[in-house]
Amino acid sequence: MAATSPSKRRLQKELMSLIREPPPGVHVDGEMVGQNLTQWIVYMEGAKGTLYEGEQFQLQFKFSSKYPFDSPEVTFIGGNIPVHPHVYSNGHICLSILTEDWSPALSVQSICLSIISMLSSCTEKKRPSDNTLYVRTCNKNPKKTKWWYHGKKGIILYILYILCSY
Amino acid sequence: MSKMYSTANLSDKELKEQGNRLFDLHKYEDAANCYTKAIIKNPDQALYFTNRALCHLKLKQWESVCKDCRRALDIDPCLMKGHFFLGLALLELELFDEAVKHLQRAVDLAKEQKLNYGDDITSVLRQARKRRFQVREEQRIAQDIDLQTYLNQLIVDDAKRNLAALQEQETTKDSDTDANSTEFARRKEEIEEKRDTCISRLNDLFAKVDERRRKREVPDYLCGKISFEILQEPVITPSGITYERKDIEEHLQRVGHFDPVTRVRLTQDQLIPNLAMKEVVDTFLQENEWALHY
Repeated sequence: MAATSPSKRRLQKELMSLIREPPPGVHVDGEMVGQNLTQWIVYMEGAKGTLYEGEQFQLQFKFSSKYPFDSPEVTFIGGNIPVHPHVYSNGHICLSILTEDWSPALSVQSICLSIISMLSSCTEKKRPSDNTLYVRTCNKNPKKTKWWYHGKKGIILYILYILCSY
Repeated sequence: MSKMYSTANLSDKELKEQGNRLFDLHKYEDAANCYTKAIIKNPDQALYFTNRALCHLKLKQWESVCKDCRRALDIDPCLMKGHFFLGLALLELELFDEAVKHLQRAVDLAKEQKLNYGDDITSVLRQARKRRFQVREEQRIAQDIDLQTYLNQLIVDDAKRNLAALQEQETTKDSDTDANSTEFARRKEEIEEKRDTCISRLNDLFAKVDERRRKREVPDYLCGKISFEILQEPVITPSGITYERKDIEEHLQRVGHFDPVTRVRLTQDQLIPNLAMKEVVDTFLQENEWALHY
């Protein structure tokens, strides 16, 4: 029961509260996560009255040992990746709180709420304009992408963030 | 003729200093001997006793630690080290009540005298209180189980007695009519039913107590906004948000110079100890010792 590191202890607490009182349309497989606290799958339903009503999505969360000082790596996975101007077809999400606007006061629950609200405010189902280029060239880890957040205009530019070419 | 070198010629101060040197070399037994000689020369110096107590502490001679600390405290009751070492030894001897008392006194004295041991003693104090709670809790659980078993047995015995009395009545009755035997069956059933409901209600009641024990939780408002754990050293930001000091400092170093909740610019020198919150947490811990952690 006693998780050793502060990051594990916090994840354990977040898991308990997400199981006990999840936001509407969200649920987590506690047993699966309980076995490996650093990687979660969260199930999410498209909210009623939005373009995504009736759809089911899966979000994958990966946490480093520096969580919550380090943001989690969050991507859509599985057969149904929402068609949305900020979601690439490989599941990467262009959402500022996941990288440069991350704060340790955020949590799995608040990330889920942000993603639900991002989906719910969508007026036209389409992929980001640079989807093909991005999906072909990006790093597997979305956190390694240098994003430019031009949310309001719906234009997302991204600079290839060439780290090291091992 | 030259005088032979002997510790007998040294003053108590010199003996103490020699003891300190030996202590630094981890020769605790030899150091303790020096302090003993110093004590013989000057038995009114409390420091010699606490120094020897520390040697005993290193040698895990808990009873001797207690003896020396008590003598030091007889000389000077405000000796922080005397209370601290005594508390440590008492904790090892599992005398939790007394350990908590002396550690608490040590914490208070360290604060009053502005000594730098504060955090160490506080964490030992928490440990002592936590262990005391665990021991008491185990006792309470064992007592509850005993009580539950005893009450269950009482109910069963009572039903048995009632049934026996009923049987007695039945056999002494001379007429053996149908009406009598249905009445007998009805009353027998009544007794058995009452027994079964009492047992299940009793066990439900104990299950609830047990459930409450397992579902203990620290309210969110006593927890840091970063670690989600109960606050130990709460600090407040200019935005009015309270954080655990080490977490907010780590955030400022690693993530950025902003308040994690309000995102207003924030630097380390703006953090102010939140003493009111500290008092609230301490009171909560006093009443809910299960929430202690270290």
